[in-house]
Amino acid sequence: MAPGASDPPHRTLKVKCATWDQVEAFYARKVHSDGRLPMRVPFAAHVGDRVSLALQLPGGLVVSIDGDVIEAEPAADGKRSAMVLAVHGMTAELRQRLAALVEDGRAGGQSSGELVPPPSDEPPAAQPADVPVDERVPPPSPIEAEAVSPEERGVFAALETDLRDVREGAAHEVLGVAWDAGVADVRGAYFGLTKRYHPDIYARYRSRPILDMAQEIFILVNRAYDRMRDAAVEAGAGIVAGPALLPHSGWLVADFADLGEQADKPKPAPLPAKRSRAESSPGILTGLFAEAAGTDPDAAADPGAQAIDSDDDVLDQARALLAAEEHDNARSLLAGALKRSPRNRSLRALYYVAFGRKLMAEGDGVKAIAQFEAAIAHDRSCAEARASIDAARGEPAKKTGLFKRLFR
Amino acid sequence: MRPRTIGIDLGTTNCCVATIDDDGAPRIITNQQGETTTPSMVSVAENDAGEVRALVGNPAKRRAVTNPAETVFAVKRLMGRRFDDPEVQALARTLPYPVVSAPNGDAWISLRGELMAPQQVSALVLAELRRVAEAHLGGEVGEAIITVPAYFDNAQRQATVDAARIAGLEVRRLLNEPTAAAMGYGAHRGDNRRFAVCDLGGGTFDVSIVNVEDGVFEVISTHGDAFLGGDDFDRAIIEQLVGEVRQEHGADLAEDAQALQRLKLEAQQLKHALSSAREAAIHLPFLTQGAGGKPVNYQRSVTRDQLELWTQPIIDRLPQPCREAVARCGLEPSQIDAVILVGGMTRMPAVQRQIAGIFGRQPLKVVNPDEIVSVGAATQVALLDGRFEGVVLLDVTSRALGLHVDGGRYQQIIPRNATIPTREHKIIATTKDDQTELAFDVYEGESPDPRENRHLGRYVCAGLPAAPAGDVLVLVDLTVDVDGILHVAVSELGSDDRPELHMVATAGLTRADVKLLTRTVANLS
Repeated sequence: MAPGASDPPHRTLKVKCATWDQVEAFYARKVHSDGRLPMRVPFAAHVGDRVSLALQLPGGLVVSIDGDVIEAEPAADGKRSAMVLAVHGMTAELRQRLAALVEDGRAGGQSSGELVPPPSDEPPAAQPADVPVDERVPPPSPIEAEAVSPEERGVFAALETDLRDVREGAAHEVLGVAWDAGVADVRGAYFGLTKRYHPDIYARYRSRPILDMAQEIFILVNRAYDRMRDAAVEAGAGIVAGPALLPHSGWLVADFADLGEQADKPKPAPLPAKRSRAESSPGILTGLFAEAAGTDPDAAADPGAQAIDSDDDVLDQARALLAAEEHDNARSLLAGALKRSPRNRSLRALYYVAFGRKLMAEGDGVKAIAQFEAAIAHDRSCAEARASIDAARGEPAKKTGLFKRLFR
Repeated sequence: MRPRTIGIDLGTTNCCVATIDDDGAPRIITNQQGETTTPSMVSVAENDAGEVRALVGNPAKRRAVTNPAETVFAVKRLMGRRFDDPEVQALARTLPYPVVSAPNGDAWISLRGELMAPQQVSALVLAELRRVAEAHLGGEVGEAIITVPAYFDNAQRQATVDAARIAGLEVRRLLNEPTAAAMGYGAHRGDNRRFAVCDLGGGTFDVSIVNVEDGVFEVISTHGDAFLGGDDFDRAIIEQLVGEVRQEHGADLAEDAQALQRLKLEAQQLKHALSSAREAAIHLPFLTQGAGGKPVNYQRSVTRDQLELWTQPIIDRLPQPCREAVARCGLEPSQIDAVILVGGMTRMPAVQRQIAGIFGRQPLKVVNPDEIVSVGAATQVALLDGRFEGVVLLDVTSRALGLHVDGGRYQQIIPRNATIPTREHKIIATTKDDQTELAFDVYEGESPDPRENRHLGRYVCAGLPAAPAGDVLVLVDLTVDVDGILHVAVSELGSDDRPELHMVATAGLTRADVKLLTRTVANLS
């Protein structure tokens, strides 16, 4: 959805202080002790607007102070207004910092020579992006073949194929070793892949997409090695000299208490160990869902109880569509049903399954697993999600390992 | 011809630049004075035409004696640090130039009444090194591999990258100093060994355990002390001498910046002399005004034993990081095959004895511990250009990274000593109906209490669809790239579009700042 459609507008107002005296006047007198700042502004202000003051100091530094409009009186022409701003960004700490800056500025102010020249006055309020209020983190740019120079296309294409294989493979398939391989084999295979996929090896090509692609592959190789090595250590191979012998709490599995046995381990899972781990660190989600269940007893007692018959029909239809691999149709069907009964957890779980299956079909197994895990978070009894996770993790091994393909 | 890439050891007290010759041999580039290392010092002065200009390196070091308040040294210890950090506060009290708080709470420097970011000062040094390299190579230098202490955290690494950018250098790779040292020592030697690299430089002490197997340099553990280095030795000597002057002549040097600066130079010379000699003399005429306005001429001789006695508390801090680094990878000190000493401070016999004692073996003799790190950086340049086949470097994260969601508990996401690049994720959910923004904080550190860890940034994920509580799930990806720098990305589960992610700038420089500072640095040099 489009951000800011209904939000109150957020404006940035530059306040330029030419001297340190002005800075002092600003924080000591202009802003009242209760944080109210009456001022006139060159726009039509409304109560509830968010306004950030960009206080520009004589040294050229800009301090940003957030505030909300609490009183507003628009002028007749609608282009100016008198308003009162509650500057909640003006904390005692900030006052102290400003005071320190003023003191510093005055002490050195007499000396000649401006070290930091004031920035050119050209872009005032027209460029609020210059104000360090906050910085938008750009989403990771998609890795695109177009950005690769023609002579390097071949390398890129080869990496792209390999990345798909690595994404689909289970840990031992990525490394190209037996399911229960020993430490020496695992390390040997890992070193082989390291010499092939470490981003350093591809640094010579100098196109960003190739480097990104190598990094993506190597992250997955690293992860596969960590898993295999940790499994070997757990099986009693002794300590392997190598980094990160700590449990990976970042793995999604740690977040959902009953999911652990789905990992690359044989079926009789060490249940007591899992339990204790879940108890010692209930992920935020576990807590959340417990809470959600508490507030919604009907849904918790029986996920399907609230659903009218048509929801069950929808579920059946969606399952049929999924079996026929019509993922998008299943997804839109479920989305429609969810609009009617947004609290039906079975519907929601199946919705995630549909989306995950679609990603699987597109070859993105890693993202798909996240979707399936989300499905299980919503409905622990969702058999489709569990089956899909097993399929996504590739157990039992069906595909040719990357290593085999490379070194055959 | 493409601009060349150089390897830079950007040290606390000294810097060193190296490159790789066409025949593959590393070469240290000497500066205009013919020295292999350049002091990391910047002094700001007016030239004959009355313009304010920055002096870098030896000219700045000479000027430090007369204008201590206008000469910046050891700025690496302030890079990417917060002003209210207790370690910074302790350091600021001992520095002759004023350290102040920037509006965003970072530690900056006040020089001639103007604020300067540590990144700016570092950029001036880097720009000078770039000029030195360009004069030597006779061509443009556009990229560099810069070494940083392994113990540098994300903010400090980012600050180093920003400094290079301000100096007009693109960072091709940030390399950990101990790793670079291992590369510089053994890239061309083919044997399988397990090294411990102990790097005691001007400001930091780093220990890395490096496993070399079939051409793969695998860092398996790293540890260190970010506030232990040559500077501390200098300060211990200065404190001792100040105390003696007070006793003998009744003059308090602690308030006399110029005298302290002379004492500092003398302390460094004393340290160097006593690394080879058993006894050295101090001679400081007209050091200060004594009681009754008489000038104090200070003169005495110091033996190596006395020096070791004064600095013993600092030397005693060396074993802990070493043991920790070894224990972290499940090894015993006796399982280390060789010990490499890096950094000028390891020339001190007492330091060598202490480290030999920890590992139970004599350290390898490195011909020049000041230069080996930059040689490793230059070797890495050749490796990235594809000129070394069959050699790869695997480095690790030096700190754990964790996530804290409002109202939730702190959870560690990426463990320390994980091989980089690495990525881990966490799913977070909305807690209120129709919640469209989700905020979370990223911390660095291993403590279960986030307040004890270092805050890297607060992220706000905006533009989520309105839905019942808990139904919107956001997947947060934490990626640590090959430079050891963190990238955060979010995506919404069950949806094709990515929510907007904002970082509320609490520390470091924004992109706009970097642009602004680039202009000021260009004006100064």
